[in-house]
Amino acid sequence: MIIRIDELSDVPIYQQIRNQIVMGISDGSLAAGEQLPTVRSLAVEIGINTMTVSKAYQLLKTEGYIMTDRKNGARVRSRIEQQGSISEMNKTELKRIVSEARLSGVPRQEILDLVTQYYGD
Amino acid sequence: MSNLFFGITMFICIVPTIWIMFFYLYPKKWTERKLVYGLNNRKEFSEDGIKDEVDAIAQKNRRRALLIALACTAISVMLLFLHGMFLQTFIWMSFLFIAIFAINIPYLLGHKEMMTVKKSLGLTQEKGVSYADLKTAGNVHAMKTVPVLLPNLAGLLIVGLLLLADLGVIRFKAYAPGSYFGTILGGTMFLVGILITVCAYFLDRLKNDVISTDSDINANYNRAKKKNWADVFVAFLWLNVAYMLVMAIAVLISYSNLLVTGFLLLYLILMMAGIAVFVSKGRKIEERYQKETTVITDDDEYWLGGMIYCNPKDRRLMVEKRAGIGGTVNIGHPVGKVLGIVCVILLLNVFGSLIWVGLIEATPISLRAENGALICHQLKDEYVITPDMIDSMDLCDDIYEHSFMRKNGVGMDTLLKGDFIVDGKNGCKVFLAPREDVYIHVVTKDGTNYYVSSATADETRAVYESVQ
Repeated sequence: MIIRIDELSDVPIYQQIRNQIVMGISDGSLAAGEQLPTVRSLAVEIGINTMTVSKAYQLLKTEGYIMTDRKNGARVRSRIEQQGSISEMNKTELKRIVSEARLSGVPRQEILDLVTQYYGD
Repeated sequence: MSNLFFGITMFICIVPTIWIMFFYLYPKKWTERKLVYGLNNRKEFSEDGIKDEVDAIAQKNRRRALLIALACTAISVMLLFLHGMFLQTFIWMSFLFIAIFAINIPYLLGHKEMMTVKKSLGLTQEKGVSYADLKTAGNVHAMKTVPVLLPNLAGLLIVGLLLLADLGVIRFKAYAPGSYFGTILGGTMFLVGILITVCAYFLDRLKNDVISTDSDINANYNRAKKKNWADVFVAFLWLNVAYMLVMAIAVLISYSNLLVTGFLLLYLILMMAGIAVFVSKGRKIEERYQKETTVITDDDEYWLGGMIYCNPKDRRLMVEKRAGIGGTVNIGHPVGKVLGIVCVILLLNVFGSLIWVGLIEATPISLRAENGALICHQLKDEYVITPDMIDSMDLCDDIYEHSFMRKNGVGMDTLLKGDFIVDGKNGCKVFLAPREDVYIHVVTKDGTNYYVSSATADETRAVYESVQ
């Protein structure tokens, strides 16, 4: 799975890493139990501080997407706890995206199609 | 003889380097390369209308580079006939830098022209964007421990043998224990091997390139590249061991100039051949994967002239070179800046050392007698042999019958000065103009052998008579 980091984006780098790993788990690019690179390796690959990657992994661990231990490093959780609801923060984000789309004249069906596509079967 | 040998050594270093750079930097078929004049080879460059423009830039600069490579070769042949240590060293070293700079000029011009083409196409850089493949990150390595360990162990054995000879545990007819000449020589070569090993591991752990959205393609591409590096480094390690072995044989059993210089030339030729094979393989890997490249990390603007990487936001100190082989330092990194300054100082030091060699060669040695003492003087060096030190003193004219092996000091065709092993005997002080056959051999009461002469045979005779 490829992740794209934009250093000039308003979104902090650790958040970009976290978001893309979550999307990867969701669309199946990252399988359950799959090994993630070590903090140091990923930092070298992207050319960023190890603390930034560590922060992203810590966040993913807290949110229950990955598990980490000293022996095996970071892995995608085999079973991700399903809360069955969208968080308030994500609702606000979704509202912003839908609002921007409506103001840009994007038809409702197109947004629904995109949601269907991203949600998957 | 050593003049010609030095010339041939420099010729073997410079000419193949220039031609390897020519074939590497100026490809005939630029469409098959990952980079064109230091810029990512984008699909837009191969589109109708643009392709002809890029073709023209590539061919024009290739022709320029060809002329420069031919000129460098011709000049190198002419330089083989130079005489005089200082003149030869200074001109060859200057020519080395000039030739490498010159062969890069068309590349720099091509880079500038390609940047203009890129801008005219509206291909603005995605500043600050980088990609990483989670499946290959930190997982792709080609360097195995055993193939690296074996030549280093072999090297260590040779150093051990030389050390045992120096300690007198094992005795060799041609070698005087206690000089540590062999151990220092072997140890230095062993350290070269360690340096090669460190470089090999460093390159094996460089960032993996992301060229595709398919992780398998990324993994195979990076593995192929790293395997190529690993192979060439292991070959260099074994070559280093072979050189150590030949030097050990020469030092311990029979020192032969022909053997040592002959093998050094072979060593250089094999090294150049190894680099040529490495470059050729690397080119094939680039051609093979250029067709599968779908992701381009656009960091062209961080590459000054397509050669020097300067990205202060990149935390990496070492990155893969765009023009050349191996890695290069990110001069935007704080440590990179320091290393850059160190490199400039070292470069200036090379020319400073050359001027010092020139002074040594240009200043005649002097031997004079003062109150019965022999005083040898040149520049900062002075040997004083007082009458009470002398056990025996002879005027000799058989200089060519002795073998002089330098431990430290100067060893030129026109001057031998410093601590030498003479005919296998350790602890000899030499201060000679070797082209003059006449010299004075002094043995002091503490057993030290002095081999001294003045700049001319007549002066040496006159000094000997006045001391007598």
